[in-house]
Amino acid sequence: MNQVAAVTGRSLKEFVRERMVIFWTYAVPLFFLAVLPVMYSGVPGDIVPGLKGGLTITMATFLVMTAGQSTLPGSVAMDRERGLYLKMASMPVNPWKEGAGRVLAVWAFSAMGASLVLVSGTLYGGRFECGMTEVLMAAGFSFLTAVASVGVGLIIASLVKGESAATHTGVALTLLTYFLGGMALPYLNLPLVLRYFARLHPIPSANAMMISLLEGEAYVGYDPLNTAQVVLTVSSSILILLVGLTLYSRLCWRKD
Amino acid sequence: MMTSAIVVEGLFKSYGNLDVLRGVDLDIKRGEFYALMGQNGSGKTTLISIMACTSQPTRGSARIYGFDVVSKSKEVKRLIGYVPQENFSCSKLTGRENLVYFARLFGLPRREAEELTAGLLDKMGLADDADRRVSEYSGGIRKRLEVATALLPGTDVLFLDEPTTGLDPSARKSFLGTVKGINECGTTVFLVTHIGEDAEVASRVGFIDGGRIVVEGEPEELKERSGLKNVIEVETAFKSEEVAFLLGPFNEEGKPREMEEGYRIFCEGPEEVAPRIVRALDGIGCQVKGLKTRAPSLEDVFFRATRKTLRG
Repeated sequence: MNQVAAVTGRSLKEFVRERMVIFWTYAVPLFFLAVLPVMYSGVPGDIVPGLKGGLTITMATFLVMTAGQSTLPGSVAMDRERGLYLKMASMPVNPWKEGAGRVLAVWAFSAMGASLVLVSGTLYGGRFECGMTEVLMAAGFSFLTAVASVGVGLIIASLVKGESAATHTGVALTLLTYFLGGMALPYLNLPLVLRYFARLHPIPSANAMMISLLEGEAYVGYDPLNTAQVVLTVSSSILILLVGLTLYSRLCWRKD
Repeated sequence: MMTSAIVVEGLFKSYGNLDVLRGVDLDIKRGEFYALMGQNGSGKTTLISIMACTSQPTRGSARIYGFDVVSKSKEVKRLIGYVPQENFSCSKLTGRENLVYFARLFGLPRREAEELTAGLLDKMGLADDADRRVSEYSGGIRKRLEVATALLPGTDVLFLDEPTTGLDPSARKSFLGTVKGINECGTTVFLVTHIGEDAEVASRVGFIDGGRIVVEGEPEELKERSGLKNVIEVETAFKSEEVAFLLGPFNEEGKPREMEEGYRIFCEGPEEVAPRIVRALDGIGCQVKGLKTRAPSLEDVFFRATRKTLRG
């Protein structure tokens, strides 16, 4: 456990001490949260708080995606470029434990940012109509977005070697998921093929589940909380994380 | 009783069709300070990375304290400390935080890691800089910190890969003094370098060329065996084929070795040769901007042995 804790502590310190990481991970969703409600000008006033609530949840998910899919691979690639893996490979370090430490750090970093987004969204007029059960279930689905995001991040980190390339790949995937997965546009406005994408991809799917729980199905455009979709979202999130960790422990630590 | 710290036998390493190591044999005793000199691309980093368990040999074996680096890498990793060429320390963390981090990677609990780190910071002369971020460190202090990480939690064999690259002369001298001190406390040191002055502090030096160890011995012994007597370094206004041809007869080996700003000449009796060199160059209108005589260095010996220069 000491190895896991050491890596978590080190990674978290590096994230919070790097201004650019803080800015790009935290500031972009907060900026969208402040700006996007401009689109609600022609919308009946009684549904605006619900829309703002839904946007707040989506921006929290966006932040979690950015941290997992872009910040994490960027930090892995930076450590690779500076020879940290070479150093660790000469020490009795278990790659799985080291990877787990990184994952925990990203989750902690994401949780801090997502909390900030939720507080900001609430102060900005977002309304959540739900009970404690729904909140706990939504927290569980939020965790799934973090699980899938770091899984994707670890896959990127394993396959893309340079820091800049890894970070940009992560940003591109985050934006693609956001725009194509029904997080930026209403589900019912999506073409049929993207509706499948929105249901099959665990991150937009879990995001829809959270909005459905905390705001109501009407704010999503379909019922995401059916058994098949929940099972698929849970299992695919875990699978992506396992694939990510396996690739990471093999490719990032590979001896030539 | 076994006295060898490192034993390498018939080590080969290939990348595709490229043979980087072609049968390396080494026997380094416990407590020895061994420096391996070679050009860039001669295979020295490949050799040290195999011994540090970060790369695998194609053929042959390497053992540290009797443990094979491939089949017993877990045991080897507990005995060695490795400082790769790159600056691997985390720049956003302080020196102390870095050391605690690396200590905890060995599985030590936080308190034990902090205690160990405090002692090591004192030993390495880093106590005053311990709580500054590494991004604020000079190259010399950062390298010393990275050596400190390689001494956790009690290293028997220290591997250093070109540790003084990028350091100014005074930082290099201070750094090498620190490494010498570590060696005098009983740690076996294996240093890889392309800088002759670095190897001068070692108790034994090896030259690697074309993936093989071609010469081995104590620094003074190597100089004596080379037969080199004196070296004259001539700084000329310009360099040309004509100048080199003119200096050929003064050099024991014919055409002199070219340097950045002139030529290097191996000769006997420099007091007599130097004025003749100045006159000869004057005769073709090549001004001598500087001339100095010195004893041969390990770089000169390397050149004599391999016909190759270490730098460039």
